Amino acid sequence: MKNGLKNSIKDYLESQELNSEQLESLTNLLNSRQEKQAKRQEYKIRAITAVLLVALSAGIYLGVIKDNKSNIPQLIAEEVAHNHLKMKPLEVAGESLNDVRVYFNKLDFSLTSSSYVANNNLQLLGGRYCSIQGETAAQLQMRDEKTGITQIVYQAPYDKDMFTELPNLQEGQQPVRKFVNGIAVDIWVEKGVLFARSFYQ
Amino acid sequence: MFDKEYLNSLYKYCFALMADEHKAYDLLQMSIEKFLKIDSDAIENKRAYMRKTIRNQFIDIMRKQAKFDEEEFDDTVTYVDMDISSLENLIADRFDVEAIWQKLTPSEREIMYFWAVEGYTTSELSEMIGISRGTLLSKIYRLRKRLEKDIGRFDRNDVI
Repeated sequence: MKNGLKNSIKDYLESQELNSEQLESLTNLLNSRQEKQAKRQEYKIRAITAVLLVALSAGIYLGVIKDNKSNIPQLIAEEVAHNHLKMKPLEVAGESLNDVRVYFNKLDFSLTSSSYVANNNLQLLGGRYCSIQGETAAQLQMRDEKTGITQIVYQAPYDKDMFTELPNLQEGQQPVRKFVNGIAVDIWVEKGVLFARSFYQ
Repeated sequence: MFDKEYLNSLYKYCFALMADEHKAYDLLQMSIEKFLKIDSDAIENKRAYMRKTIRNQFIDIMRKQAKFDEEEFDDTVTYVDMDISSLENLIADRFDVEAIWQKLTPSEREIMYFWAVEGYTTSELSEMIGISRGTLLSKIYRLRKRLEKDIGRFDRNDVI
């Protein structure tokens, strides 16, 4: 009996099927590739996790550095207050910067006067070497002419990268003031030099 | 995705193209291997992609054998009476089909497969196999003429 061409083509093609051996072979091929893909996926996840961990660690590390840098005035204040409490003896005596300048020839800069210090009626007594945050600095002891109490003024080379942005008197800014163990510490930059002044208030 | 039923449906398509059991299986295996090499997660319609892979693989094989019918027809000629539905009224049994199947060109077999098994219209067919409607209508016209002639020749009643 004759059918329509369409149905006959369909019957003919529908009767074409993979035998069991071919089916098994293709299934094995698919399974082996899927296993490989699963492993590849696992490696990819591990790699991404590792990258994220590195990025996270770097972020934390950089965050710590940034956090430390944002605390620079506080760190300077703590160091300066600690020195103030110890008040070590003078290594050189002098009543003016000219008197002691020669002694401080190991500094990378020349001792300089500060308008902020001059305005506070401080009389130089002498000085000694010290350091601020690892930088060699001059520690100058001064007497407050009004009270007779000794104050200390520090001078160190100002490195913006190290000490971050600090108030610059020549730009009309005022010193930042910190308090540590009852000692007031003023910090500022003037003529390219980092200044710190510690005193009992 | 690749269950027994789906693998068999792909095989039927491969068979329609190759007209040979072993070649159809080889085509299917090569196409699956190719499909597995790509990142299938990024593909939206995996089944359509798989069929396209089979077709491209098939064209590659035919080109190597210089057998694929790439003849182009004049798109400006309109064969208004030679829509795919014009094949509907042809009469043939399965044995006729089996006898003529290998005598058809690969592109003719592909047209027959999508028409008879997948139920595509002329427009869908044109889009699927990537040729213009005019070219497809020309192919159908030639196919019908040939079938009329060949089915007559292979009509078993005539032989008896």
